[in-house]
Amino acid sequence: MTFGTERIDTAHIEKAIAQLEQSLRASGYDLDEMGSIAQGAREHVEELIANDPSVSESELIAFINGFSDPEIAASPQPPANEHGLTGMFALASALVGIAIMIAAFLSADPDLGGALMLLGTLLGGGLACVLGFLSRRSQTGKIAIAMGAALWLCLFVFLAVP
Amino acid sequence: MAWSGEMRKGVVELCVLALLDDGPAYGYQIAQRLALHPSLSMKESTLYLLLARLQKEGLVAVEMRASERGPKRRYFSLNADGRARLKGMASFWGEMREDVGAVIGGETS
Repeated sequence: MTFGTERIDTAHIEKAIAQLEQSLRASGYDLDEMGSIAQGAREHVEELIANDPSVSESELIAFINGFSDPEIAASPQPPANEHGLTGMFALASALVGIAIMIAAFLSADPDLGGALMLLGTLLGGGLACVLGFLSRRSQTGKIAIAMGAALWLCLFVFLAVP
Repeated sequence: MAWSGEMRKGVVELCVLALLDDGPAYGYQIAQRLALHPSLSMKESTLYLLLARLQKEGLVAVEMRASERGPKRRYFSLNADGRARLKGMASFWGEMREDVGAVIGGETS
């Protein structure tokens, strides 16, 4: 960086740019957008210093602060329910897993019960966790992860109990 | 005025593409050129967001170049897709200008 001059403290400029980045993040700009704006601010500061060596530090900081309010809105973030369908599949997998687990408990045949328990955990719990993770921004995804984890916990508890 | 900013947003991409059609330019230079036209003058942060979006859409290429005076500069230049976009936008702008003029002028077709 070429910010530093006799009158301009590089640290103060860097601090202003760091604050600009924080402000942009808080306004919903993603990392790419924030990086582009911050890089633009740096480039402009360098140009301003190169074009006008008498420019003051306070003028530069005020200029950087002006970058914090672009006229173009931040790119819309994916809404929380965008992954709703995946979340629903995750939830359905968890429910199927629970149903298989219940069948395993009710089974009179220990071998069949064990096989069902394994199937319920691997299929239901596994799918619920994977699909739930993919749709973790949605409420159903979060619930599916919790249910899938509970299924796995059940399996471990039953394996641990002699 | 909020409405003037809204109106400008729609055409500023066209103007930036048109400026880049004249040859590669760096951000500060583009901002300076736009500032020559008061109604097109926009915040520098808006310009950099727009340039980033154009780059993301594959309409402009970016190249770092050393300058004789001052810092290294990021030059933006129009590629084939950018020129095609510019052509399309310029054509649409022509139609729009005529239509808006007709509506404002009270002409009916």
